[in-house]
Amino acid sequence: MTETTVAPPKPVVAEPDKPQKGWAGQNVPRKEDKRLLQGAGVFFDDVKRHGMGYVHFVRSPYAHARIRSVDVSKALELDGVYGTLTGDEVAILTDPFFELSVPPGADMKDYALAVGKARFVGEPVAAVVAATRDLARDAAELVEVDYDPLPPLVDARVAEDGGAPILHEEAGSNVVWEGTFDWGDFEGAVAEADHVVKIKELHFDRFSSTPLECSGCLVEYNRGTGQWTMYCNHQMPGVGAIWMAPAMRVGIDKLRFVTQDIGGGFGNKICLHPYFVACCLLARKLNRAVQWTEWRTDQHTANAHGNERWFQEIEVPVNADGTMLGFKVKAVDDCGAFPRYEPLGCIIWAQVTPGCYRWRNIRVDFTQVVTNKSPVSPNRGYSRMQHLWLTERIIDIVAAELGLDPVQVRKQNYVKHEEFPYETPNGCIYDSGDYARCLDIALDLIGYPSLEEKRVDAESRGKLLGVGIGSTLDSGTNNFGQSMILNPELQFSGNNEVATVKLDIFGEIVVTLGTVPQGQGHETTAAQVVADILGCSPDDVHVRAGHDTYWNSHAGFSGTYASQFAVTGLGAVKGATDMLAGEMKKLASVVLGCTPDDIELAGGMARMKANPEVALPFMALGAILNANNAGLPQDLDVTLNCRYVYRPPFEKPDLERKYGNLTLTYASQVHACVVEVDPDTGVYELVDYAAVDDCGNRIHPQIVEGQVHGATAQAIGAATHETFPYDEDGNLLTPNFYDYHVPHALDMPPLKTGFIESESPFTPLGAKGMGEGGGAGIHAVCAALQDALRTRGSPIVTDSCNPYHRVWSLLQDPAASRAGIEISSR
Amino acid sequence: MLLPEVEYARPSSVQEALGLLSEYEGARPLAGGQTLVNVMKARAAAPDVLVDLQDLDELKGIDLGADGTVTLGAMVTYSDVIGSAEARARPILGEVCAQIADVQVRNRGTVGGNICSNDPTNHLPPLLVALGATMTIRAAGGERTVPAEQFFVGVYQTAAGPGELLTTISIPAGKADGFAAVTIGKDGTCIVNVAASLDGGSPCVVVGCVDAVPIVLRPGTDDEDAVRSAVRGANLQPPSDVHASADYRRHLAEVLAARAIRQAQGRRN
Repeated sequence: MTETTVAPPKPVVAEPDKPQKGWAGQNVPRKEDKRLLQGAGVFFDDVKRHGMGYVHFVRSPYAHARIRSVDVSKALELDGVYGTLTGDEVAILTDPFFELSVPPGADMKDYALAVGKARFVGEPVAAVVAATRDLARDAAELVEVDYDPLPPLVDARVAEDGGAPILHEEAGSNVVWEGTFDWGDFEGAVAEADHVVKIKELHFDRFSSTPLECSGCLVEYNRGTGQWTMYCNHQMPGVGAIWMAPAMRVGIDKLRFVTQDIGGGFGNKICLHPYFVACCLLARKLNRAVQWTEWRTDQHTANAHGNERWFQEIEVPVNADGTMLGFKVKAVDDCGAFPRYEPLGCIIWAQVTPGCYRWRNIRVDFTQVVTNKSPVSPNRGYSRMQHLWLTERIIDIVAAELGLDPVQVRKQNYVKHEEFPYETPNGCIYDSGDYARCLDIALDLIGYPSLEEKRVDAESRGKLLGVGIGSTLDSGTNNFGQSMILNPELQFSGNNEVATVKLDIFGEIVVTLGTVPQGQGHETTAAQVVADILGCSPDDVHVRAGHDTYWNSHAGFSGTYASQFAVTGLGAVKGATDMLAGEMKKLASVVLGCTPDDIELAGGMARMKANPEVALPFMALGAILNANNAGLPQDLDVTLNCRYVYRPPFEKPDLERKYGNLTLTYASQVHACVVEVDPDTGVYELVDYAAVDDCGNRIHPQIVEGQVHGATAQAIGAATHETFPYDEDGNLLTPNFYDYHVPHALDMPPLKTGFIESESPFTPLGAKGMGEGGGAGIHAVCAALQDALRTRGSPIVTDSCNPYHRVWSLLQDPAASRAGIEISSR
Repeated sequence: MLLPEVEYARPSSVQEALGLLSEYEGARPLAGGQTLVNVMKARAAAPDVLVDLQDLDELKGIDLGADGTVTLGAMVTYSDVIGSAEARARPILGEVCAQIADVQVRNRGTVGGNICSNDPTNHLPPLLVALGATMTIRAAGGERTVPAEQFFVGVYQTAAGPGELLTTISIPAGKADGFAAVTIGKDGTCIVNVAASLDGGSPCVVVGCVDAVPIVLRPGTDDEDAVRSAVRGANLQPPSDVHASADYRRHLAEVLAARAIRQAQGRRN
């Protein structure tokens, strides 16, 4: 059973005097904001140590080159240079990182520094440590590397061709992973359909998120214990440690990750292990703390991009009434020079196989290849965004070609409200939602009924007006068992997160999380959940900032990624707080001489339900157990320090059929966008924009809305100007903010937001993970541009990124964009 | 720090600045720093000595002459121009300055810095050429004036040579001006810009971002077709880059020239 409730159009700010049913759902002031707004946050670069050294990486200027030699002697001669690290040392001191793929990907060797070959511009080849950051940079310029350039591979589509350069000779192929996913009966659907629409090729462009804070760490090595401490901004330490420890030939207990404030993650900070291993080796070699702070240009060129993907030979069977029966596609994914988190992107898209639609017959041939470009890592909307862009492009291209209304065809094909929980053709369970209703709200917000008048008005000003819709899913709380579909030998499945909640001597309620917040307000929302259970104010709940392995409040999948905190993180908080509440009642019942059931927690007290005057303040409970416990019964099993591991209900998938529930929750977003195109120049402006979000019960509506704004800006950037193109030599053409244009405040359209709350039946709080969004803005902008140009030869938008010059090309030569479209009808 | 090692001097008079600039071969004047410091951060330029001009009040004036001539000191910021009643005598000046980058940059960046850096994507070089401005350059030995059209010599190169300083920019009276540009987003890198003026005798159209220096066109009349035809006839060879192909830039030059001249026409009387 799910229930959908209408909420007011704008989140309301909580009024303290107004009675509320609970803290969850209120916009309480964020606990993090005071320190952040006063400049008192602690980011890793704020952490300094006596005598520390600064790391600068020497990076490859070549996309593909054999490394003949690396000579660090001139750098070492400089006064104040503490030492260096080269690929040769790394190859001796470490093993290649563990690869997730089966061969050929499994055979690709990835180290902390380039060993033998450089495979992308910006790849770290050596590292220099010096007394100051600028000296390290100067010294790095003195490192002499003798390169033997090799032909680069920059187009994923030719990676398997006979003449293509091979990046990883050990693997013998540029393919990381390939496989076929076949659900339903695609041939049957084609035979049954009235039309089959064919689309030759679509391209999801390479881009990435650009966090305010670049990556980095301060690493200390303790020679006595053989242990490293990394003050850092790694956003997934659980998995980071799984990569690092075996490569460094140490136990996982030797790696301590500490974070406090992080200036944005978006997935870029998941694959930091090569850099961190280099820093760990240097800290040990030089016996001093070292700090690496990534430069912005290095962040762009060599940290992590999002996956670039080609969709080829798409076929869509459609009935005369506009019902689509599924689709077939050949996907070629470009993961850059090393797989790292890949090939997980080869399965993650399958969380949302049919998008928002009731399509039952789907076949996907998926191939992932390496190229001489920056490696990728999960980028906000990871792998689903690319796939959802395909599903939305299919809708709008088919609608345009068959003369269908893009609103009606969506509603006709959407999974219906009454069908939830809905099982997709590959066994995923969409928990709840009402896509058609979200679409109606979005259309209402942009004044859809008066659209034709707006078109006329735009025309009178010489502009072409277009409207586009993006309907997407933000699947959250991964079942890591999906990795076994790629590689049955992998021993990963399910998911988990940890929280510890304790009552201390003076009545302090202290919460420790396993998550790694980067701006998502975990301290605030965790306090809301705790306060509701313990009957106190969120102000009374102290949530430790950040993550520390030494807190022992983490598990294998701990981290902040993949839209899951509201489920896994808060699920753990709720579990631990329920345990603590039980113990507090038990202790109170012993002291007050009653049964635990006679006790309630309210107003910061444990009190008798029957006679609230008989009460123990939390302080008394904390003091009695911790400091005044003589005389308590020996068998009283109470610690007031409760650790809970939340484990979502998952099964291992059926590997043969590539079938199973891959994520627990499916938040949905429907965006609608209005553009005005200047037909003389291709320049366009987003003149109206609505984002409607449904993430189940919202713990803190304002935080949710902030995430919606951020995901929208990310998507608008990706749709308009953010792209990482390479030239034929493998040079990145947009290596920093001079050429890589993220949306500035002035570029953002007026954002209208709406929401509904479709409670998830599967989660502890009825909430769904959210934050990534599904790239709805990309889909909406692409659709709006296509709509705007329909009177100019009906060009088809075939690329996810559409800077002005591309729009101008569509206006100049609409036929070229239509060349790959074919319709066969019975 | 981000920068390579550099000496820094902060003279208190133009004379002192000129002395420093001629004394040190690798010296470069530092105005608002919105281009030079970034170029140094990227280690694409590494002057030995930075001669910071920020204390030179004699370069910060905006004067309106009796004949309507607007004279801008080289150290006047964009925000100074936007807010100046005197500069408003030639309205296009403030309007274009308001389109340069963002508020923070406009508060720091200077008119002199903009034109002396002569980045081909800057707005002021084509504008000042179209307006028929005159640059005053001072050296230790004396002062000379150069028409804007001759001031811009090459990419990042101007008539102000080593040991010299641009001190003032004089813009004659007028108002029938136009400006049109396509930038990446509202305030990003410029793809093509065109300035036009009808006040200098014959109509003047100047195209930026398509060559090392602003391209001056004199179509003879202000007829839109004549202007378009002049752009087409100029045989522009703009660069292709990640933001625009050469063809797209050529096309924009024509469209924007027509728009700039239309704006100028609308302000003729």
